[in-house]
Amino acid sequence: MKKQSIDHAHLLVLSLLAGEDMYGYQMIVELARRSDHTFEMKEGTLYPVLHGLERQGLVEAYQQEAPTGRMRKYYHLTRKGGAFLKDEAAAWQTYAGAVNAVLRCAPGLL
Amino acid sequence: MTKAEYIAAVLSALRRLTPEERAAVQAELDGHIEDHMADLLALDYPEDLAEQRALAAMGDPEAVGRELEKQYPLGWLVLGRAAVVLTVALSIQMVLAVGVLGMVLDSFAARIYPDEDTRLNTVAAQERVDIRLPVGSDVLRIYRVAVGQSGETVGQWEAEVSMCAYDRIPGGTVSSAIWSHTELANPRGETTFSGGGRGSWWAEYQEQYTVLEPGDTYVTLTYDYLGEAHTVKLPLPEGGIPS
Repeated sequence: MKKQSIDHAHLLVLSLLAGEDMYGYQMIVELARRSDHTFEMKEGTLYPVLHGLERQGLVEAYQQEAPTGRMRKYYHLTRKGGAFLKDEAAAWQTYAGAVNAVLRCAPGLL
Repeated sequence: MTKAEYIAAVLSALRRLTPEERAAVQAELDGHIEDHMADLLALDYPEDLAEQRALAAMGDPEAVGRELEKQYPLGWLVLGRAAVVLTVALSIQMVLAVGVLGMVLDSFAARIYPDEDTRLNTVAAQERVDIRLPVGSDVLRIYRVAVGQSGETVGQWEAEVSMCAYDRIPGGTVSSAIWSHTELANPRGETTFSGGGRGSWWAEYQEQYTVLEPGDTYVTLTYDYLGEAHTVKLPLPEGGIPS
């Protein structure tokens, strides 16, 4: 499958954090796994997204020691972030539904 | 490019971050690259290649730095530093306010219940008085007369007169020069031989002394400055000095 760049990185990051708290590299690995390696994301660009979400109060960060002894920065979805994710996911579903509806009308596509 | 060079390139774009924020970004990127390298090393990648693959996956460091910088608007930095300056200024103001409050309280204490102090080693008798003399814009208050011995000269009796001064307006400042024009004398006209004082801008205190002899029954306090003169005859408390 052709790899796609991510236009809604914040939505995907918030979705990942809805399940559990994660650190940056863990999110990259999990995103690749869940999308069956469809999304291509330069790993470094995850951090501007995370820091932006943190600034907006949608996620919050805390330090936790890794098994290697190094401190890792974990991100946690806040209540505000959960509400934001719900709204954004609904908007995305509406958008995707509309695109699919148009595609279904195109002869020979679906 | 090495891991350290990559991180340095990202950090070079971060001008609005505080040193603490820069250190946090550095640690986070370092941890990410280390994690990725560890996964590759587990797949038997040579260390050099693992580092190169991990850095390549991170993307252009300058682009990452630029995007990170956008998440830290200048306003936050200015606001953060302004908050620090404001906090320091308010703290100083509070400390000063507490100090000023204490001094204003001095002014009220001098009016109501003046500070007690004595240089006499033994007090044979004392009496509280309340004599207030208007002196310029200030008030000179005599509040205690005592008889005793300081011990400086064996067997010598002394009278100690405790005074304070404050501005007529509560909270106003008082001049410490008031004591330069105040004298305590015994019945033979022998004047003050020593005095001790303390005070603040809002209240001045002083004890003045004069030598007594058996049979003395009073001392005289005088104030004379710029045409303003007061003379107060102060009876000594009974039972103090042997007659």
